[in-house]
Amino acid sequence: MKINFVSVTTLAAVAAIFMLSSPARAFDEDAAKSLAKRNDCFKCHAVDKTKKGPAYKKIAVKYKGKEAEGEAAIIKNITTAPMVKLEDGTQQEHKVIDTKNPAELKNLAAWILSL
Amino acid sequence: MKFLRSIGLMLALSGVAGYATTAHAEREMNPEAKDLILKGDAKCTGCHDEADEPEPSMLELHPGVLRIGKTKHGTKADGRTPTCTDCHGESLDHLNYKGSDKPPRPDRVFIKPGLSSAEVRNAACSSCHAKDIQRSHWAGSVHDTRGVACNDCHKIHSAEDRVRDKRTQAEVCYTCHKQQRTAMNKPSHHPVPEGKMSCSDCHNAHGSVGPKLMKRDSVVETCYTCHMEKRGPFVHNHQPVDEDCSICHEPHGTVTESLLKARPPFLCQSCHTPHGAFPPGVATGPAGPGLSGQPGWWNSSAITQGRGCLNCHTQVHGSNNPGLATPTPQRLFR
Repeated sequence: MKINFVSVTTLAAVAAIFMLSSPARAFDEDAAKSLAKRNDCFKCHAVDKTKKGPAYKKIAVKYKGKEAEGEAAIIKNITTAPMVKLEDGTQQEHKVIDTKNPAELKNLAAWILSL
Repeated sequence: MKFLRSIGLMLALSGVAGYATTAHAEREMNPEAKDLILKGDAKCTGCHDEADEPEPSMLELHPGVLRIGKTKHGTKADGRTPTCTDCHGESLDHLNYKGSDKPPRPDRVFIKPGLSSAEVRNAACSSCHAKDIQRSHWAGSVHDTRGVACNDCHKIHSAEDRVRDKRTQAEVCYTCHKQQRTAMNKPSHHPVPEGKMSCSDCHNAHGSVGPKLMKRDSVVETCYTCHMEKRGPFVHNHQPVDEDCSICHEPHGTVTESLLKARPPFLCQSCHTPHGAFPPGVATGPAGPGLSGQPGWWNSSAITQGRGCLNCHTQVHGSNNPGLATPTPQRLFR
């Protein structure tokens, strides 16, 4: 069978593009979801639809390319209960999560920013 | 050249896909919550949506709120179908909470062991179901007076309400009625474990005028609905049959055949005195050399040892045999 060099090169290049464009999954998705569910995060947020709070995908889009800033903002919101603006324009204290473990908090933030 | 064209095409496709994903995400982000299942449920489902679905388990103790759509309470075409607040109350404190802690509970919650009292929970159900004739005797019934709430047995948000399925109903009843679980696992039992009968075939858990929440006005009337051949009328009745079947039978199960409470003749002798002497023609033992004159063949001991009341008294539930005169009375004979 004759292998077309150009085709192979094209495929390799495309694969490289996709590998570069997708971030490394250095987080535990199940643990992040479990933590979010246990703390009723999904009462106000959803992955891809707006509830009382913004969708996680919207947050990820907002901080795309600024992951460090996004992580800091997310962890601040879930640990210090600042007043946040809801999608309907009203304000409310953000819920405080029931863990202070930095690894768990970073894991949750990393999952949200990966969406 | 061909290589460069391929790369360019792929980059263009990636860009289109990225734009489509972003556009889809924006389209999904609709700030106006809409009803998902019931009329006016948006105020609740804005927070309590599919994310409330619990982890999969065999028990499904707390089904997700949206499962109501798979039940009769989710039939939107029926004008009587309630909405969330009809059962849970307007719950304004819960709805308008702006703090960072857990919000206060809704006005009525149906979580065992019950943050809302059984009366409060039952009032939510009876506001619609009180008119049902099957539940007309709930007030003052045993389950009512002992604080049983509707949701102690029923799963409102689950399409699989185990107590309404003949095959699984008994397990729900057994959670309180443990003695009946034991009885049903004895060798002689009504076919409840086999799924051919359920507790509600005899009992009305929502209240009745009969004893033990029997469906009919008495135990015998309830038993006659299936065992109609025991009803009679007979020329000669056996009084317990008219009075209460459970004098002789334990309906949930026993180790004696025919659900009897004890083996004959001991069961029979709990009311009847042991047999007197038999005439020679009805003697149970062989006559012959060495046997005649032995009292055992002439009194009840042989009958006792042979467990034989029913050998002659085959029609214990009632007989039309006219022979009651001595010397050979044929009470409850065929």
